[in-house]
Amino acid sequence: MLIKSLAKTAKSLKDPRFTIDYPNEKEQLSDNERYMLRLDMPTCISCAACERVCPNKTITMVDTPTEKGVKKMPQVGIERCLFCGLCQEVCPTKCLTLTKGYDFEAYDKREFVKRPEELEG
Amino acid sequence: MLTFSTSAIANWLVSLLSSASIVKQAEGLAAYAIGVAILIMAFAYFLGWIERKIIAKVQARHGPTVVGKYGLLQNLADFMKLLAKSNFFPKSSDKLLFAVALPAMLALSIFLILLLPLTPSTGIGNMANGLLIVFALFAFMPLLIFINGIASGNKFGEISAQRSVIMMMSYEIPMLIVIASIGMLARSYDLVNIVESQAHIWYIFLMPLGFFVFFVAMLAELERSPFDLREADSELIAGWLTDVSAPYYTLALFLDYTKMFLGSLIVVILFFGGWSGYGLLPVFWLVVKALIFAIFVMLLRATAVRMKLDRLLRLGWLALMPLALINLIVAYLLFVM
Amino acid sequence: MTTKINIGPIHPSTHGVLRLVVELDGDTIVGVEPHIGFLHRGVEKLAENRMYMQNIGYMEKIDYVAPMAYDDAYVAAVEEAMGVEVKERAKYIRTILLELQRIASHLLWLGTMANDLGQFYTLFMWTFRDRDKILRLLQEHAGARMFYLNMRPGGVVRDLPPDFEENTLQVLDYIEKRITEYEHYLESNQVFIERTKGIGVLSREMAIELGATGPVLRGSGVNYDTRSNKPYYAYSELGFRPQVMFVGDSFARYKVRMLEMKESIRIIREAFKKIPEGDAVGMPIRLIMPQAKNRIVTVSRETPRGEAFIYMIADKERPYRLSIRTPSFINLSLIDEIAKGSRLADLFAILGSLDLVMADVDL
Repeated sequence: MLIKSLAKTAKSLKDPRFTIDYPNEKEQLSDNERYMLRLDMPTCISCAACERVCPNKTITMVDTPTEKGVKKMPQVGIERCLFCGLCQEVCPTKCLTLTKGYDFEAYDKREFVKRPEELEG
Repeated sequence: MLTFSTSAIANWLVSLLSSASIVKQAEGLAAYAIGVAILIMAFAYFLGWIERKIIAKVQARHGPTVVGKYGLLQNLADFMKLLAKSNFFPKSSDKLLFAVALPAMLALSIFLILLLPLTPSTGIGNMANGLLIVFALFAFMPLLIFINGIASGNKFGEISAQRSVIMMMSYEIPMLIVIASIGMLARSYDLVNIVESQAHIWYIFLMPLGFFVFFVAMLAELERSPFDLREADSELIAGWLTDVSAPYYTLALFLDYTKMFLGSLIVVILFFGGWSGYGLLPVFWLVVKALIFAIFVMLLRATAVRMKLDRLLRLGWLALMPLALINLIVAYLLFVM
Repeated sequence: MTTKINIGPIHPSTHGVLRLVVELDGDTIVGVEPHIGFLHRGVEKLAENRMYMQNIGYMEKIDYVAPMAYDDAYVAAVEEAMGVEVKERAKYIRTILLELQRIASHLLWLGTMANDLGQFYTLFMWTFRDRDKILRLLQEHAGARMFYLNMRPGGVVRDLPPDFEENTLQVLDYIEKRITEYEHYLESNQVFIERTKGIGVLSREMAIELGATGPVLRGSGVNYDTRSNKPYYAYSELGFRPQVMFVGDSFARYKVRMLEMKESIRIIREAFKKIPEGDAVGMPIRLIMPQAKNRIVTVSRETPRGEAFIYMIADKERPYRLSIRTPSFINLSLIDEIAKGSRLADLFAILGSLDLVMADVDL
């Protein structure tokens, strides 16, 4: 009655394991992955298109000191972000991009609100 | 020096009231019992580790790897975490019965393993009715599950308790008929005699039908797939263990593997020749055969789908009982007459 | 004397948060009453305050097992409101991606159904390993494993990567072998056959009268499939055939889904042979604003669970009203009719064969 299923189970004892041992081995990802955000500060023109298109109202423009004076640049709250990629698509100078780094951990939730200087990949 | 017979028990009880050398005998017995009990618990812990690793390998994943080398201390970490939590009884439960049932089950299973002969010379062996005593006490397990389920006071526990009693009605009688046929083949109920009379040929080759019936009944008793109806994990949330709080749950986890060790030992002693084998120590052969049987039961757990209750009743009365009777008659005709 | 049992919101096998109040007479079920609403997130109301492209993120999270199906349904509604035609190559690409999503969703269903019946997670782990291979394929194209956001009005967000075709064909060969193995594994097990044959029968008249959809409807003998009755994309050119079984019990519903997986594999292979060259990229985001060309639009699509139906009243910048009929809501309301007269242990086999996702029920 159960002989065939048992034989299949016993045969699957020699299959290789499919899970990886996480902190020691990591996955290989392709290049168009949508994980951590990265802002290229000299190229940003402060148009606030990313703020308007974000579905969650996660991006806000804050005052940032640069070499050319005080400009408004995007600040992102990572704990609310959907990683949908709409801000990357709508940015006219392609300065806000989503990279493929996916391990960002912190003990305190307030470290997840990333100012523009911290987004400098 | 530690072997008793029934008249020796009577003498012992008489001298208990009148002499002082009884303390030394009781000390030796207690030391033996405590030592073997610790070894049994260590082996049940080891069985728990084996089960986790084997089921993980079948399912193409790793199993515990971090705590201790190869994950050996994972179960210990689980037990320590569970023991540190707080204990409470629900308001609608019967507190005395609820607090007593699980420790009684664990004590009963360890006591039963102590009664089995582990080597030809030690153990509380040479009991003339060892087989009957073991199975009489073994039948208390489903009753204790019933008590725990009823005393827990919620509906899932009651359903599980009812299922436990109904299951017991279906597999106990075929199991007893098979034991009767084993006693008939060996011409005694003494466990040491049963093992020694398998020195030429094991009983599984003489009675394959009887082995099949006994195996199915033992699986149902041990609450293992495909018969884990009492603690049906995906239907009633945990059956009779639903309202059990964390320190008692430790006992329940431990009980699972202790019962499996007990069941494997009984099957090996009755059908596979016990400690017979050449070369190494007899205890080594017994434990290795029990381990192989236990691994087979674990692979069965990973494969099988759970049976329904009425199907189990039909299986017990319409399939197992006739097979056990046929086995008894054929064994009588072939080997005794 | 009947007792009422509460199979509460937190339970290992109700596929989410669902509360069932079951009235039992001994071991026989007399009535089932589902209480829902534990996962309601207000998607229809949120959509009234967001612009068209900002809504896609919410639409995908309605059904988290097969997100691309709702993504596609919503973008099709926006296309019809704007009057935009889908490009030719994009039609074939959408068909291929949707059928891959259907195979992945049915693999997850198979694992959880075996789990409900009492198996100790073995088949669950194996089907998740196979589903993971499909998710890696989709990850190469879209950029994420679960919430893809890869549909734009007029096409898809970017074209397929160059080695997509040979990777897909390799994965399809592997999955075809595994599906046959799973069928043998389950159907050679007497206990599985007894727990699903004859359990939870839904007759043909009751299925049509109560409004069942998807594999539940096709398991009762009704030959209705949105992909062939109201065809869209490339299904009519690829020769799609709906799979129907005639008995109406849990085994028939299980068999319909296994046959659907094989049919999806056949359609993907056909589509790779017939796909035209050209451009498949849809409109960029800054241009999406319907000029009220069609004010009221309706779209129906076949998700892996059944027929999803979107009704949208389009305004200038954001939808005025977005109403979604999800298939799991209708399939859940059948459970009182199906489960009367069977035992308590059968209730979970029936729930497993209906393939519910609670986020789909509560919207």
